[in-house]
Amino acid sequence: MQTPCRDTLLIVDDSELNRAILREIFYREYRIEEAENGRRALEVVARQQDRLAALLLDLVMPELDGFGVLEELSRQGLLESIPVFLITAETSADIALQGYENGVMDVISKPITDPSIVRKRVGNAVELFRGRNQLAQLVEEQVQTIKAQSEKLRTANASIIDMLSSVIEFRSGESGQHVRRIRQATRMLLQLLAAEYPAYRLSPEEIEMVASAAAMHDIGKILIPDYILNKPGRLTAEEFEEMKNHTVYGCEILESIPFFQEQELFRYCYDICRHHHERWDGLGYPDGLSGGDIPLWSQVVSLADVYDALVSERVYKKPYPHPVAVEMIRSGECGAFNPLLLGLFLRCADELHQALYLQDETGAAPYSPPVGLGRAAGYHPPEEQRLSDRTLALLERERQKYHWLSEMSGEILFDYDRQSDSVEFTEKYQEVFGDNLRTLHASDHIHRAGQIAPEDLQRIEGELKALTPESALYRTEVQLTVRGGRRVWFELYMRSLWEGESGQVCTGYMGKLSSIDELKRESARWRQRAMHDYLTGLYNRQALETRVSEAIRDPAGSPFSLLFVDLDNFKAVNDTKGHLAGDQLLREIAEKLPQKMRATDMVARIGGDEFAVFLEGLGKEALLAKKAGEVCHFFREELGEQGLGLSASVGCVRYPADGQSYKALLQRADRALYTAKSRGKNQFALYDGEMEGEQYRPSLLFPTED
Amino acid sequence: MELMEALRPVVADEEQTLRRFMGNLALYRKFALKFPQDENMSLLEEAAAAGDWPAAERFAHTLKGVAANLGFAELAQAAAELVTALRQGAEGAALSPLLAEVRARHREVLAAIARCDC
Repeated sequence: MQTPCRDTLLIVDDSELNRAILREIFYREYRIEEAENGRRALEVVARQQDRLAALLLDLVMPELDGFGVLEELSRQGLLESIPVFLITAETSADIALQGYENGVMDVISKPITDPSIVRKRVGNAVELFRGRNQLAQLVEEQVQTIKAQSEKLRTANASIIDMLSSVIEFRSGESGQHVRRIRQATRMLLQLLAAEYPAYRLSPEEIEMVASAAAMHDIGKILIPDYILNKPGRLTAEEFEEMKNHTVYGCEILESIPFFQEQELFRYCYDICRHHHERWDGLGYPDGLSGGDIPLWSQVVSLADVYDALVSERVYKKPYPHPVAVEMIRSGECGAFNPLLLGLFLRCADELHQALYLQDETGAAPYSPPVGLGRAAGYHPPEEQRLSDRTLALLERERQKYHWLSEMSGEILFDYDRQSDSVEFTEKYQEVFGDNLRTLHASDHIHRAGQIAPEDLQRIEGELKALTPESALYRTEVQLTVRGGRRVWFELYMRSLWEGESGQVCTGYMGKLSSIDELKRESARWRQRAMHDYLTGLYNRQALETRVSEAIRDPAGSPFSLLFVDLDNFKAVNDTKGHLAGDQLLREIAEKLPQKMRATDMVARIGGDEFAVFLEGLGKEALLAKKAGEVCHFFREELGEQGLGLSASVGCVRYPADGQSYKALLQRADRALYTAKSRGKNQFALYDGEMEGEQYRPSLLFPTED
Repeated sequence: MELMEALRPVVADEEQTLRRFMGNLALYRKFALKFPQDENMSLLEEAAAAGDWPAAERFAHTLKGVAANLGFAELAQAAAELVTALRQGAEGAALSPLLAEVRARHREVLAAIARCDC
């Protein structure tokens, strides 16, 4: 702040000569102002007080004498910043003394004998005052700075308290209602107490302060492990001991907030934190205080807390109805209370219940900041919170823990923030995808990076839009390109994060990418296995049925045919040559038969020595007969050793001509096969409607289950 | 005659006097030459004649100051004694000799100034 330079000397004397002499001494160093009497002098002072380095003042003057001037200067407080020299002819000590008593810096007698000394004396005083003024200014600036910082701290403290309260609630899974209700209940009880017992001298301000402090009662829970805090069952003795510590932990946290201890609110917060589990009979914790030793505010909060716990749902219990809760408190079943407070509670319990617990969430009172911390009303968005170093350290520690847990899991975890459009991965990500762990402009990057197919990305983005705070989880499978270009199946499991007053803003996502490639391949293998005959590697009956069903369902409706092949005399081979030889034969069939077929045909083993051939697109009788003939030929001529007498009987059906369902086709194929067999084997037979009239015994191949 | 020489009879300590004026002879000269116009002497006479002792004290006091500044030591001294007497409540006849002394010294100074060819 620029202050005008103090460069002016005001010479006040009714004698022109005196003024001239003084001017002559000082004009080289100072700007000179003159006044011939006290009144004029004060006029100059009024106009130029910030420029005055010193005042040289005569005593005897008309209109207002020296002492008159001094008195006025003193009244205006100017004597602290402007040194005044009395220039007087009086040599008596009394005058000098009076001068000093009236605030002059020094007395100079006239006529002046030594001007240089006078100059020095005045100069010294001016210098002194200059230093003093600067100092005063520095101090004032410091005071302003400290005031501003204090204010910031108070605001920060208010924010910290709010934030801590919210964190507790969030962490212990209780709704924001709990703190609000405790605060209100505390307020109500205290108001009743103040009304009934004025001797306690509870002012409204004090009541508000205690109500605000009540919000803090459980902040110590932030240091209680989750598994205890959220345990649905009964706590073990050890767990309960730890839980009890939340009282003391809360105090530690409060003590660590800088400059908080100087504030009146601190006392209430501390007492409430520490003693809200004490009991009137001394059996409480942590200090086992009893009776009036327990601070009154702690007692009140204790009572409010117990009632709230009884009528609310908690992880470990269901809510009790209001009358039951009241009775439990009254009977001493749920703690020992100050009889006076208990009496007050019982009187207002119904009203309390009505006001706080029967109101819907939407009718909730707007969030009110803690009183006594000089904070403006209204919710302060997180960006405006200034955190104390200690709280920052606590948060940093949590962040670190989270980070290390993520890394140690060896998983690909990610954290996406919408506001900054940035994403962060654990190290595993870099290992697998060869991409940066932290990316800005993430939404852009993901389109270009090539790890995910555009259609998959589009699908996932679409599905994410449907997420809500209530339904925040999302799981899907997607194929991604990893480092090296291989396509791998992943399971994407993530959660959307929400914020804002009504939690409507999605602030980002966090989740996990797990490779399910092995699983998928394994399952593909199993599916494969399920479709194939183990011995021969041919398709099995399941595969055939699937293929046929697909072809039937196909809207294109292309025709197809089926050959059902049953080996003649296969049993003989097993009997004479042994099963190994039989197996060998089957494998030979599996190898060679498909070669006789087209690539689009499917050869399946559907029984011990039964085969089927699915002929795609084939619907003409003549062609079917040709094919069937080729199959018979194959079995007769091209298999194994000659002289085995091996042959096959073949039943043929066509779709849609001979049937329009798999079952129908099956049955008719069987009939045709039977016909071939009964005609002497080693031949084929195309299904014919006339076969229906003939003798027929359904094969075991096609059990008539449904 | 040059000023300081002319004033020598009435200025006891020339060096001190000039020092008071920071060695600025021109400044001293200006005021010394203005001294004859200074009214305090005549005002003093008037006040004394009128019996207005508080006024007389003031004029005597002012005269004293001017005289002292200009180095007219004896005049200053005479005026100082008059002031003291007046302050002590002296009146009328008691003051006559003191007043006469002041008058005489005053005339001396004026005479000295007159001798200067300024």
